[in-house]
Amino acid sequence: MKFQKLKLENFRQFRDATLDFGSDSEGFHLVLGSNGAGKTTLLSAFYLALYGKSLESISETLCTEDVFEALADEEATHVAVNLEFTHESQNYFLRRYIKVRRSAGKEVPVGDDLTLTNLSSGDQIPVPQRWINSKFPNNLAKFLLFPGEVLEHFFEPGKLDLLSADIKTLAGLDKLEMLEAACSNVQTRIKQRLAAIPGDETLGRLISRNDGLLSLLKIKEAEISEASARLSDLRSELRSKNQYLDENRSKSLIITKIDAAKRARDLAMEAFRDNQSEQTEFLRAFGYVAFTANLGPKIKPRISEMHADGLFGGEWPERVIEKILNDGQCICGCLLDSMPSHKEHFAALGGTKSKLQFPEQYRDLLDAFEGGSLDVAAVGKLWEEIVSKLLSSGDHVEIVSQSLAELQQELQNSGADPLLAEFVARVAQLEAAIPKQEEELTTLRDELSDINNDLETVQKEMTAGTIGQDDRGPLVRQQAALLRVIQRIKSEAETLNDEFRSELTRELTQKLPPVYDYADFDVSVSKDFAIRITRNGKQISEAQGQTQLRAICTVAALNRLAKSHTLGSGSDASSEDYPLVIDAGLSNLGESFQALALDYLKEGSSQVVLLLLPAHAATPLSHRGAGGFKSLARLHIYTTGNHPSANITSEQVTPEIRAVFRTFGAAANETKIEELVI
Amino acid sequence: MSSGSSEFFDAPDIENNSGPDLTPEEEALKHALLSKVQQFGLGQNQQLEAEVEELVRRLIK
Repeated sequence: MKFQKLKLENFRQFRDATLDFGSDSEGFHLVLGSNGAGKTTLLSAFYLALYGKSLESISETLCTEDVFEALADEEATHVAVNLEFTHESQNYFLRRYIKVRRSAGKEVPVGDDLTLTNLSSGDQIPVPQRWINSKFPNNLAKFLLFPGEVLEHFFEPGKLDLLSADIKTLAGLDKLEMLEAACSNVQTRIKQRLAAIPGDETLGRLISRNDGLLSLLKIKEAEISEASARLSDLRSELRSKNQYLDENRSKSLIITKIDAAKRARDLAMEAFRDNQSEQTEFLRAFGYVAFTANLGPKIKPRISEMHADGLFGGEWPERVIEKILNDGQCICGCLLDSMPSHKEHFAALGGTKSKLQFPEQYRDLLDAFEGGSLDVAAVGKLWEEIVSKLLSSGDHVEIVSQSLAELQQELQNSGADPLLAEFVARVAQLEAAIPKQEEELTTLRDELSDINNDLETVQKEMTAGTIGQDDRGPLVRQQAALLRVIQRIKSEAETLNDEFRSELTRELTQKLPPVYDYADFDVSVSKDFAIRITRNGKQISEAQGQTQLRAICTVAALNRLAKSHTLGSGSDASSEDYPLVIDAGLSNLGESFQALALDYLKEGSSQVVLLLLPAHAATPLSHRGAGGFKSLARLHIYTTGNHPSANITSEQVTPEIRAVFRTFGAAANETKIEELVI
Repeated sequence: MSSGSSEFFDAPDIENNSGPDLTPEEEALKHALLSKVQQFGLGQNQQLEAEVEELVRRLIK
């Protein structure tokens, strides 16, 4: 969805004004205006157009003051907001018309009409409000059309609960919680009615057992929830660490290789001391670490010499020999997969294969192996022979030592972050911890399942035989059904929560790196949607502009989520992103963060409308340096002036705009300045 | 991390704990409840409870 044109009639400061975003409305639109000039009114106008109501923070008076004052008592006029927008390649025209009457000096709305026309097809949309709510859900509006104060919900101490509530609304979880509470209350009432009917001892015993099992169920569910949260945290940390390592693959790979080279060296030295003992095991392990450490190219010259010396005889498949000679490394990788117990061997070395990078250029060999066309036995035998010869000569010790030194030098030259090594180690820990946590969760779930089975048995007994013959039967069944349905809804809500948090974490993670040095920072989203940013495992202080910037990241992340998901009350997912309209949301940001914040907003939506005080206009924009905003499709600057309390004219804002022009250089040719006429 | 034999790289799926299997009547109740809750704004708890009570009485005999 993109806003194209907003036309206001008798709406607050604007008797007749048009904010035209142009036919190509993507890009960054800056509206400058002093306090009281109408910036917030513009934001409110979008709300009014879409939802028929104003922002909470704005007084309920709609009509332009002088128009209203000119009315006689009981005389009526109208306020209208017209919005042209595009959505999924169709053009729409929306008109919200509100009739207001002056009654005893007060403004009284007396009628409201909404029409929505698809300009592309000429059709009228039959139930426009429903259409709007499905395309642009009201619960998203809070994050897309927002006054600066909403940012406080994200980070102000004491307001975090508001954020949690906002996100729960967005994910549709609040309604599920409300339903759960309603069901529980109804269940209690049914139980009370049941207790009021005189029953026999058997039923009493069953009900009491039922209650006991229900208590157990609650305890077990709480344990599962905790264990699941721990698992989720571990996975989340693993994901973010891996992502960082992925992004810095060339550097982190060196660390992985160094780690492997050290092991290879230790193994080689050990085996050299006693090369007869457990040689086969050693060969396998050495093959693994040698591959990981990318030692193939180092070993290759020796293999080449052996080949030249005719040491391999004529019995090796030509293709394999050729591969070894061409790609010394690949053979080790294939060998690993040829060994059924390679996982254990490698695990014994304290690693996992997830650290391995199988280079794409060897993909054909791997495919051949996986497809069964590679003579694995021959490759394995060849490898054993090669390493055996290397072992007996002691060459391998020299090779790995030399390789280790080179790798360490390479790491030093790469300027890698010291935390990379820490991350590599942490990933290994996480990879070991996750299966244990999964196991714990499985055990707990099994226990839960046992309790559920017992419960089912008890409930069957309760609903069987004579009990079902009188008034108690339906009540017992209703109570049991409600319980089971609540459980089901709860678990579905849990899944929804997990999925939403996981998406949100991913989006936030992607947005953080340019702001913070991501090597230091981790972002996580808790079960109740508290967003934490930690540095080296410690939560960072909520000081400076970082917090506001994080809020903006969150808004952008939410917009991205909104684009790709059906959230909340059954809205249609849209392939388009939503416009962002922000009222003075950046004015409190630290200067160094302002420009980055703009970048995020841009990333969060392809149409951003920023309403700013003129004094704040030049500062955030000039921070980008020349050409910094070239990624923006266009910069539009509008001014709102002539308001009695502000009296801002285009001349007065010109110095700021000129500063913007200087900053943008060539991009300024695309910049358009318009004055909104009131 | 990506590339390589996929079995080693894919994190295990989050275990799907989808709650108890429901009978057709209970499934119908669940859908009716979810559909009903969408019609209510937050804070309308008492009305929702009345609707829940009515639904359960109608669907579970």
